[in-house]
Amino acid sequence: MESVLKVILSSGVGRAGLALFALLTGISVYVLVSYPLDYGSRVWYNPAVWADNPAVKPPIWAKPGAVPHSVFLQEEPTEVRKASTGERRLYRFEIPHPYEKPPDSLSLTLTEAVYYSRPPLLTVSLTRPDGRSVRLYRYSPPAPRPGEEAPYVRHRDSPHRVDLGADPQVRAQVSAFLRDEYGLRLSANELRGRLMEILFGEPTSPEERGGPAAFRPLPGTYALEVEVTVFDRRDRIGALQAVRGGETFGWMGTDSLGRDLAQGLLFGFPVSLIIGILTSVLATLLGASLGIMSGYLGGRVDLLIQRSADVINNIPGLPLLIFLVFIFGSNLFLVIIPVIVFFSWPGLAIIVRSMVLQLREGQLVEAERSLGATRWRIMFRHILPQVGPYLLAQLIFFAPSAILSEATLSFLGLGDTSLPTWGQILEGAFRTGAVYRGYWWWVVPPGLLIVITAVAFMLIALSLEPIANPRLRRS
Amino acid sequence: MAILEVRDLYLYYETPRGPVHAVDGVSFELPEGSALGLVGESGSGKTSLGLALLRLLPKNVDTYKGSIRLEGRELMELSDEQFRREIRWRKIAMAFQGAMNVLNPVVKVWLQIAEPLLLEKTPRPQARARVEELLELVGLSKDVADRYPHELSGGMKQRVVLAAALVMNPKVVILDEPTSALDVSIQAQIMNLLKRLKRELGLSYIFITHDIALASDLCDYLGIAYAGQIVELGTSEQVLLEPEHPYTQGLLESIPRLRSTRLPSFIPGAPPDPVDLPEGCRFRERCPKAFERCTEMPPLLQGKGAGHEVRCWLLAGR
Amino acid sequence: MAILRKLLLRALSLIAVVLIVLVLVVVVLGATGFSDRILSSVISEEMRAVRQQLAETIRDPQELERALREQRRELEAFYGLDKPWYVRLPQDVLRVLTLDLGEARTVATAQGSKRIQDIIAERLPRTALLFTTALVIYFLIGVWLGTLLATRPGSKLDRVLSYFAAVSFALPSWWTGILLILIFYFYLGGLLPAGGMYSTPPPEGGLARFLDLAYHAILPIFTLVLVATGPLMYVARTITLNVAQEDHVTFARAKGIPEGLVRRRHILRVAAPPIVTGLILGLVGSIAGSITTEIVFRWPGMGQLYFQAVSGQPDESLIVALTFVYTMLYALARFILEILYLILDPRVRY
Ligand SMILES: Nc1ncnc2c1ncn2[C@@H]1O[C@H](COP(=O)(O)OP(=O)(O)O)[C@@H](O)[C@H]1O
Ligand code: SF4
Ligand SMILES: [Mg+2]
Repeated sequence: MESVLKVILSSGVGRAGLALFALLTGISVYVLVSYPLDYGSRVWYNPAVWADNPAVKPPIWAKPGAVPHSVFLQEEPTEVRKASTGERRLYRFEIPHPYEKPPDSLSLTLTEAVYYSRPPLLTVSLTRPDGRSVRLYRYSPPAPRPGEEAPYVRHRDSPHRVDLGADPQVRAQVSAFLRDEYGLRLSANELRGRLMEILFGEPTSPEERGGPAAFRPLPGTYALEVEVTVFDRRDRIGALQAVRGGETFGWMGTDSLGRDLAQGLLFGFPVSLIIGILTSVLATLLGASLGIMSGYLGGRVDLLIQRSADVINNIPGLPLLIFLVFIFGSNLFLVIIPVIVFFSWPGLAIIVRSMVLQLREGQLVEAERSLGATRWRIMFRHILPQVGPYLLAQLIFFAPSAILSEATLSFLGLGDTSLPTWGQILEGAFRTGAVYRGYWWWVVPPGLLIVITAVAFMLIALSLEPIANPRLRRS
Repeated sequence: MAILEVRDLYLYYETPRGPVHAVDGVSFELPEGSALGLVGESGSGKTSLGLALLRLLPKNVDTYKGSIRLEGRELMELSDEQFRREIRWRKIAMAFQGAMNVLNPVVKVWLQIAEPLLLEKTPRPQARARVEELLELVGLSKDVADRYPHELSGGMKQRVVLAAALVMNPKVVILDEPTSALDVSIQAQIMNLLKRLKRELGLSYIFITHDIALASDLCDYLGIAYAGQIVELGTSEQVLLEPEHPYTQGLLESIPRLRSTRLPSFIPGAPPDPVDLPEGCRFRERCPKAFERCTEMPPLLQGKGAGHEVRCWLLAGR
Repeated sequence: MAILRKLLLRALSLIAVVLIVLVLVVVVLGATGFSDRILSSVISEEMRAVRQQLAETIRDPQELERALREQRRELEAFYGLDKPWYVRLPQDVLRVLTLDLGEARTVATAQGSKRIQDIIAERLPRTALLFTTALVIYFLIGVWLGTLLATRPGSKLDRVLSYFAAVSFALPSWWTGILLILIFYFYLGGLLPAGGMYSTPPPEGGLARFLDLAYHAILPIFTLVLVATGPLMYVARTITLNVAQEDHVTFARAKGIPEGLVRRRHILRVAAPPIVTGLILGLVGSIAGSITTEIVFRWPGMGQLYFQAVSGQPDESLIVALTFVYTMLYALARFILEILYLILDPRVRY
């Protein structure tokens, strides 16, 4: 064990590999403690989580000066005015927008509304830098159902989200706004897909315009105001959240569902390391035990093991891997890893067997046998430790191919969908045509991480060449 | 007249730890038709000397200088190409150490022997005939010609290597531990073969071995090598009967004798690190007779008369 | 004679492997109930058509149900669903072995044939084209570079290419393909096509068609070569380096053999058999690479067909047939390389 470490550290390749491996492990540990274990099903594959995010946007560092993605959350009103019955509560979101272009989207989400008599009324409007104010949207949570008792709780588990850039109600309101303020006649239908451009801009003057209505950006500070009229002082609003969708998002961008790729990529670290380590440990254990048994017991057991090893060695891996995972399902721990292990052990078993055959004739084993040690005892107490360093080297050799096999299965759509992996992120990218549209941030990083992880193991394995391949040891 | 005259030959290898002094100022003469035995422990630079004589230098050579005269002609002045064409195998051949790995595993025996001939455009049937003649000369049957090396035993391989060395009628044959990989009965056969060849073909040998008894059986002259240098040189009689160097004496005492009750004694310790040699005499740390001067200055090779030379401070006083 | 016996033994054991794989596939399909499920869904589909037909002629609902039940029983007998899988499937194995591969459910050839035999006959050459061309190229480059590097170990080129080898070991061919599409199709403005085998519509005329095919094959072949060259190069380098240090090489030099000949006859020739072994060991990876590369580049070969057979609506006959054909193909490629090995190395000839 110590000697193996010394061999790794004695070469530049080994040190580089070990450093990379340490980095990967560090990130994995961080992810394991900070992410929930059911992250896959609860977050990654849950579209509601990502509803507010812009779809397929590059990372923020890739496009400096782009409109960033901003989230504004308010749990308490900015201002409260008493009314004859109940209150008017004002939630005001200041949105600085010094950009020469409209944002990608603007949305508002209401989480939890509790009322005692009548449902509260929400009125949303936008005040622009030129002082003009646009009424956008009105909303009341569903009324009490027959037989329901106060307080009435709404939107606790399913928040109410409105996309202010696409909602028909908003379109109608903006159409009216254009008519009243600028005398422009554009039907709600004609506004489809143009709301942001209009809300965050002003019409070009008629002489500039000539043709159909055009809008120029209007930089400045915008205020999104939500007035909540409650009819009982006890009524409560949980939180209001305004989101301005950016042209960029987060450190790694988003995919077509608006998922934050940084999170998926991070979660891939522990998954990938676990696949690499678990598979190689199992394959080494299996290969070594079968090899030792085969070499030490000889006879029929030997024949059986060697024949099986020979057959499996002669099977083209991927087609069978695809077949087995397809039939038995994509469970990572119950199917994918065992199947990869099943295809990995033979080479090792064959080599260990020949090592054992040499050792079996050795004096130490001879002496033990004459003292009456059992075969199992000799096998595991004396032979295993002697082939140990070699096994450790082999162990590391298995990891990269296991990682790559899993990634390939995932890429083929046969991955375990309870855990996001780099291969699955790439599968999504390829299936939705991200490659042809140049969404590099969705395509390059996951593959790069697969390669880096495999290379980390590879470099360590290369530095162990003198142990794994004694032929090279001589000068 | 000496067919081969070597003066101050040096061959150092470059290593990360510093230069390895494998051949460190070696001089000797080899009279035509005689055999010089080079005796020394493993690592004393014997093989390196053989390689140096054939200019077979590894990539990491550090120093290679001196004078090698063959039939009066200075070989160090030849270009690499000339050396390869005119000297290797045509004048000096070498039967390498460890015959097991010396033959190319995927080429038939006869082609390996005939290779230099065929390179000279000798017609194949003639080359083939020459190979069969040589095989018989070294005591192998003709049909060995069409076999591959892995089909031969160790002794047979050694004979093939010898046959290969003789194919171009060389003047000098360097025999590097020709028998050390073989068991004793076959060893004796090969030694007899060597004696016969020397007699019949008038060959000159440089016989490299770690076994002084074996060398004394074949050789007219003996050179005792230690840590890259020759520490004693003379005729076999001089060296065997009047050994002067403590190392030679130690070597002789380590030979088991039939008619003696004295147990063979071995020289304690190990040869020095060829990268980090001790100051003074290189044998100092193992020498039973070492005194102050031995630590101060390295001894020079001193003539004792009649060509007997010794590298030891004990002789300087006399 | 000895060599023939050896070859025969290898051939037999490879045939045994193919058989075992086939049985394994069939048993897995049967024992998991997969085969039954697929067959009954096939039958249900056919029954829908039958029901419509019968409903037009038979008015009486009871009569209709009876006729339908009768029909279903006939279909079940036809597909063998009335027998348990372990009775039905040995027949399947025999059928496949006689190269009667059955019919595909949705895929068809350009001529519209649904016979899997025809489909594979159409696709196999396409896969072979990609696979063999790449194999020849990466073999030549890998061996050439590897043996070249062995002449100057530790040089800058050697170190750079060693790292390249480690990276290319770790490079999934499909991701490499995706990257190449991103570069050569997207960023370089469609310099090379992103996939497919011919342009749409394919050009007229033999030469134009061939050039179009070559144009489409550049990226997939480049992908396979890029991924496979590194490992082979590394293997070739290590082996050559080892052989160059062996005593027989010094012996050859001592004989006065010129350096070029020493290199060819005494180093490369001796290194050849173990390099072929390296190639054999890389074969599994190359087959896997060719499957995923076909998928990425939508190359209509067997790999893409396999992908279609397992994704979407799974096609049992196609899966069995393709697993069988791939195993055969692998065994065949391996056998050819082993013959090569036997020719190259006299030590294993008897
Ligand atoms: N190519 C080389 N590079 C560095 N050291 C070498 C090389 N070849 C031999 N040596 C060293 O040179 C010394 C002499 O070796 P060698 O000539 O083989 O001795 P001998 O034949 O007497 O056993 C030994 O210490 C050996 O390790
Ligand atoms: S010089 Fe001194 S140490 Fe060296 S051999 Fe002579 S006596 Fe011994
Ligand atoms: Mg030697």
